[in-house]
Amino acid sequence: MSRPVGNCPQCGAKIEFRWSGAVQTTCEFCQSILIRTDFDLQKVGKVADLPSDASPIQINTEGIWQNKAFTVVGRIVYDYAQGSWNEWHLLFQDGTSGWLSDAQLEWAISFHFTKPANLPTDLQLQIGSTFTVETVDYQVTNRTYANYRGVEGELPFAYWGKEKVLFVDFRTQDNRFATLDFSEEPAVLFLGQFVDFYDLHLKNLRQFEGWLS
Amino acid sequence: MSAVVKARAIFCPNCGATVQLRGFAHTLNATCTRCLSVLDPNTPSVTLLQKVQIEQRIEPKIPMGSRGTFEGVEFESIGFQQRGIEVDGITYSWEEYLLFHPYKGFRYLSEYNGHWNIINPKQSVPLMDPVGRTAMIEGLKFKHFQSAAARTMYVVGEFPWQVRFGDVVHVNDYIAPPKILSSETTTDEVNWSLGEYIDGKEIFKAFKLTTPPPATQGVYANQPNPRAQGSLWTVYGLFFLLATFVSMYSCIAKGERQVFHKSYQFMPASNAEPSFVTEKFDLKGWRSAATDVEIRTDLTNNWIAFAIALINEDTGEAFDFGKDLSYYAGVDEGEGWSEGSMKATVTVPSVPPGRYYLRIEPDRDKQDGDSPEQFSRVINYEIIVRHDIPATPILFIVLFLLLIPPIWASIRKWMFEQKRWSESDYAAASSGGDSDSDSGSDD
Repeated sequence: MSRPVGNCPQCGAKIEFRWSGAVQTTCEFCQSILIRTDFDLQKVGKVADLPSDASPIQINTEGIWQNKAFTVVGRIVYDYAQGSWNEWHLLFQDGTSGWLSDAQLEWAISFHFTKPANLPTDLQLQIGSTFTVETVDYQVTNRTYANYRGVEGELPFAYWGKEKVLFVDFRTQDNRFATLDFSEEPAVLFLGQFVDFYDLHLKNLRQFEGWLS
Repeated sequence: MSAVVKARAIFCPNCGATVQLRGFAHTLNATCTRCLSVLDPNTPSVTLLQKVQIEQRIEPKIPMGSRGTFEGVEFESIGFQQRGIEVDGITYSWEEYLLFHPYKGFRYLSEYNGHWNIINPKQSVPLMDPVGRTAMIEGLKFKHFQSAAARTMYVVGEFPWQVRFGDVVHVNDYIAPPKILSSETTTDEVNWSLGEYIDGKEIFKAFKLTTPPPATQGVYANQPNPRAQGSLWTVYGLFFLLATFVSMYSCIAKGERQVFHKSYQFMPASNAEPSFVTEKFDLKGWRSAATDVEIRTDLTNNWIAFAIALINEDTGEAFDFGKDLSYYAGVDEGEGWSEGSMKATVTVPSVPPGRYYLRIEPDRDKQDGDSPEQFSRVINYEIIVRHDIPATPILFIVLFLLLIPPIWASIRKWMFEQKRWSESDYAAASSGGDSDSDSGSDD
């Protein structure tokens, strides 16, 4: 399988995309944020030092979800009034792309839902209100205004600004999870479910002083 | 990249004390161990978020930094809060511990008057009934117990969220002892958690604390009802069934209690006095019961009349009755026929127990159509007395006495539930809680 390859316009290092759908990556050597404009890489910025964080996940962490192996290839760190959370970009062995979110060690796996859905507007989504996708009732549990704080690795979309955007999180009676990301118009819907950390059979985790993984 | 993430320490910008951090970068807020200021450890110079004046320090019963194993995972106690609700001007406060594991995440312990709960954050939302009185989660139905505004009164340690002295969240508790389902709501967020009642001794043991846990006071919302098993009623029910079978059997078996059986001859042509008295026999039992007197004869184309008295030897009380028997049989045009009966049973319905005898007077007058042979024929007969021995009252007394433990247990259970619900929004004062007093704890 041939992977898209290019050179960092900043430092010349070889940039190899693990995922053919990746639109953005960061140069491991000079921390430049690079956007693919097919095979020519364009530098759009530089990674601000990522905040110190305590996620046990890192780029190249591997795991298994629903019998499909995945590798962590990228990450977005979001900041909001109550702290920050990580969205780890997963590349599954079948080539699909998904997200593992780590919000204070609550774990959820989700996928971009691309089928047409009758998306509610921001104002229709107050705490407790529900929204139905494919016969499942999703209930609003969080409304979070967040901005992205940093990126790392390969991502399926290009860099965007630092303004705060609304994220509405939904939960269900059966452990499912949904997020509506209002950074785009129309909003982007992600559907998934909460998972137990140990059920993901993760390898290549970060180690913490004083703790066994 | 795979370097071990180090624990770190910060300096309090207010008093200069060193504050050891245990929750790595999860820690959004930490309190200074010396001056209790709330700090943001993630800004380069450590920001002072809140300065507090505390009259009395609270020492967490589980020291910050101690580790204990729950559900097979070792957690470290990194944060402590005292929170309270105000009801009719009185503050009721409880204590909460934040437990941390760098992979497994966060858990909570709560303690109120010696009653402990271990609490898991819940990722599912429950199914609520339209009026909010019940909530279903994981197939378990919870009853609404209390709704209150919980205020943070005291904070020590580290938290992965913003925490300040004086914070208020709206709390709803739903119970299905030993579980408790709680929601904490702010304008932007609702968080559900599921707690389970746990003996303080287990917690102290898990954290290897040598001091005894605080004694429990009163009944807590989701404390399991010690009388909730209902096993006493099951035992009683089984015994009751057994007793019913025994008495049914003794009913069926009645008539087998033969107390008298003797054969006699009667010669109608004799001039001797036909009446006589039998030997004595006992009718046993503790109360009056039916007595059967059966007469079996060898009548053939003949008849006989009996006048019988069942006489109590001690009191002289007599039960008199008579019975006529006739039996005719023959062959007509090749077909056998018969009429009447050679035997009969007379039931005396209610005979008190005692020593009895029978006075029997057989009679067969000479009839107009009688041939001398017919009249002089000897009639043989047997008298059999059977007595129904009723079930003894012991059985009923035992059944009654056996009722006491389950009734007592049920009263205790009911009182426990009264105590539990007296602390709820549905206390007796509003009388609306009556229907809740038999909570679903034993379903």
